[in-house]
Amino acid sequence: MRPKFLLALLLVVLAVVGAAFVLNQLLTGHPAPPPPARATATLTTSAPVAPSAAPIPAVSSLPVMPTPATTNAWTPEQRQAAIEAETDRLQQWSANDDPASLSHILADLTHSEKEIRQAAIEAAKQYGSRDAIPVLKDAAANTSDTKEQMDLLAAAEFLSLPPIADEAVQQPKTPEQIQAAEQKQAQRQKRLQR
Amino acid sequence: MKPTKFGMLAIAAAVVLGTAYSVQAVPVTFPLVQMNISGIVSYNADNPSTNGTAVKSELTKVSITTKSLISLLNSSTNVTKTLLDVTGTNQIPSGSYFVYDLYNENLIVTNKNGFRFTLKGEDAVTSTSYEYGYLDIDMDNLIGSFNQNDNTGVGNETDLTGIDFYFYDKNGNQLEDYGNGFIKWNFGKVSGSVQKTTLSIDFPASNGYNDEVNYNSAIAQNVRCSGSATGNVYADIFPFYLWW
Repeated sequence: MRPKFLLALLLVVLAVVGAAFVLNQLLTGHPAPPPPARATATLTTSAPVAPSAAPIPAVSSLPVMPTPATTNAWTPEQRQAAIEAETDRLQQWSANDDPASLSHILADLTHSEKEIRQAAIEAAKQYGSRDAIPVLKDAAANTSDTKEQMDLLAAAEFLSLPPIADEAVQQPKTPEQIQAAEQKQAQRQKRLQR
Repeated sequence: MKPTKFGMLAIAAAVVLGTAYSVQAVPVTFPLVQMNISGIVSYNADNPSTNGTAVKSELTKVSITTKSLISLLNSSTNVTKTLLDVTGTNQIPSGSYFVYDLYNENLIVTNKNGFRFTLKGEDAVTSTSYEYGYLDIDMDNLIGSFNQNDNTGVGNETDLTGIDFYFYDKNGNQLEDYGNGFIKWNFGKVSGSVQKTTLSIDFPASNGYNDEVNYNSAIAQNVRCSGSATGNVYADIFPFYLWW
């Protein structure tokens, strides 16, 4: 390709980028448009390529909540942002099935920030491993916060129950049993509708 | 075919314009809230038994979590058929979670790799509607309190409403529970037409109404759906309880 042509191509691209930027600024700088009507927004949010919020970022892209010594110099906004980031990470770990995620969750049970400890308790429940039970009980024994102690013990008790999807719970039923259960349910629905 | 200079210029311009358009096309609605769902369900697993001197029956308790509900969906042939029609795959991938779309009151199963399955919708292949779950708020009975800086828009709001959580795997497991839900908003400074807002949802559906575990009648206790998310929201929807 000749240099003259490359230069022309570059100029055209720059001009179009500039125009797009100006257009973008003009559109976003205008006064607030009215909120979308419910039906309109339904269309936008149900579009498969346009989720209504940015996807939750991958675990590795979120900042790590630093040690208390570092956080002392933070503004309340920075501190809150770090707590939210760690809470997001806990939610993501709770959806995983790998031992590393469970280790992160259990480590946060003794975090210096109360909000993170609370999120870690919920994450331990959601992760659903009985391996967390002794750690939850240990954490309960080592806190002076009565409410937190109760939450930790309740989470340990929760994890001792079989999950609803457990094979032992979801024993296959015979077609006759299923039919009988469905008839019972239909009768119940009838009664409720009266 | 060798591309012409004009063709190349046109492609370059189209790419740039396309990028600019896609930035504008992102809708500003409510942030999707990743939900933790948990609870305990009690049921009679067996018929009363006797040892010759005494008859007994005990309640069996099981736990429900986001993961276990996803596992139930994956085990139901009715759901997997719908999944295949709607998403092109018959299993919800491992690591998926629920998000709540407050605007449409939809529960969506999603992950960070682009998988997305709304639990209530239309199966275009069979032309039928399906309903495996939702989280409804009572929009006719929504009250709230708020305070907001008139100049900056910074403030917060707490709304209270009735809620209805529904889950059904069409395979003998159902949860239909009610309660009082809290919707909390923390709105930041208005910038243009939007303001950065943290939306927190706490829906304790503590009243078991119509529950089933593996075709057995059941009662759910302490079912809770909660989570929070931050995103840009239209500035003039606040206070939400009046706007809605």
